[in-house]
Amino acid sequence: MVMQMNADVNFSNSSIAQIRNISQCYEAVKRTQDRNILLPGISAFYGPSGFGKSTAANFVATKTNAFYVQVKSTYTKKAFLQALLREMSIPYPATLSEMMELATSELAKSGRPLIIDEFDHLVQGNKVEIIRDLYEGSQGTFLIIGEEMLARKLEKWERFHGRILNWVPALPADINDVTLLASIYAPKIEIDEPVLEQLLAQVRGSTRRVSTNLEMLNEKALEAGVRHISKQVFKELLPDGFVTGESPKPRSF
Amino acid sequence: MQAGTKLSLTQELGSNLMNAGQPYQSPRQRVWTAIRKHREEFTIKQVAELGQMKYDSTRDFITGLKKAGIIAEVRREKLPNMSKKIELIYFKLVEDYGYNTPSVDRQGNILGKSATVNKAMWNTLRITKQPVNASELAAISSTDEQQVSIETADSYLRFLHHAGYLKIARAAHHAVRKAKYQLLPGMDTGPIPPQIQRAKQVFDPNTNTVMYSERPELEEEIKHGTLLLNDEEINDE
Repeated sequence: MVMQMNADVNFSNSSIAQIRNISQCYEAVKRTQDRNILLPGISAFYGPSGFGKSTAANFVATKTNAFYVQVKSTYTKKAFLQALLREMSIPYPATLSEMMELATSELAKSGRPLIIDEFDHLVQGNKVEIIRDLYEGSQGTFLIIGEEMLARKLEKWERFHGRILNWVPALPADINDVTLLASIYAPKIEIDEPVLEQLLAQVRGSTRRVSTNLEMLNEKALEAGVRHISKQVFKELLPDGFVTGESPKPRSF
Repeated sequence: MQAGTKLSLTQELGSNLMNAGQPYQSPRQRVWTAIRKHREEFTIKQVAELGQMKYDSTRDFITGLKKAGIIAEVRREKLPNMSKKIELIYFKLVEDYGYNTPSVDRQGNILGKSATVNKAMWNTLRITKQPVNASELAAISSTDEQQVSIETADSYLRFLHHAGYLKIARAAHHAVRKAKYQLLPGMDTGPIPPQIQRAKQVFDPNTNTVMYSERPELEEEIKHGTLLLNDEEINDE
């Protein structure tokens, strides 16, 4: 009983593992890890920004103890390999081929997955080949993450494209996600379902906007001293409605 | 408390050796590197010297690795001028775990393959890069296998902020919101989470001076390593 009470106070009782992009991203990596040895080992997770791809990557990284590298637009092959070796806590050697060898063997031997975020930058700079070499050498489990157009961009790299086992599109938030996010970002208030549905309709799937709007609503409600948000209360608290992030319509004079 | 006195003697040396901006290599890590280098055949004494680890500590480590099936005995050799019972044992590496040393106890149990609570929170800060308050950090860093408590997240955020890793993205406001913190761009120092240590120190109010500070990160080095000892002490060990 005491344990139960402690758990209630100290832990948030929502589990982000149930957010659908997080669960499907994790499932994809798990499937890749447990794959038949003859199958390719790369999963690709793609979708528009704000859909919670990095949060999903974070969950997978923690749960599988993966190496995580976020590619920057300035990365050369060398800078990428240095970032990867740093992620592995391995002091880096002088030459590119030595770095490649070390990173490949670490991936193979540790058995830990590799997550590469912002993969688009590697496509633009013709650096896809080094990822393919890393993969071929290690036969590890890779998760690459990129923008909506990633699949199309990668078609050019036929030899790489063929090594992708799962294409996982990031899904727009659904009502379950919104309810879960409400328990994280608006923990102190109770929001009626119609309000959450309105929010969902207005943000067009973006988890990031769901979260920021929930936070704003939480603050406004606490300032006003209300704990329960019905449609009516919502209109009073936020007369302008939720923030949708749409650019303003052209004006007419 | 013997470690304590040694600590103060070696403090200066320690700071030179251990603050080089390179990841800290524990005695076990150094011995593991030596084992991988001589994977076909090595002795305890050999890798202990190469890895600058005390012989007894190295033997414990080797025992664990052997029981875990990571290394195996290759052959034994009689030593000249020694009792017949004493033999030199040669080992080889059987299962290479990669650059980072596997963590095993003396019974050969392999430990710590999953991320710790600190690592989970550190991941959230450096991977999502979004501003978080304590309860958000706890929720986002928890998995179905490992829960992070809001209390732990709160103290981790506070300490990292004191230490200069985080900026306050939004100040706390009485009863309405908790402070939100965000990792500073230059402070993603690497994959290993910064540790909050509980160190004791001696402060003398008469002279307004700190006379002695513990260095918990040197504890392992002092207990198991030979890096901080001078030649005479190494021969004593």
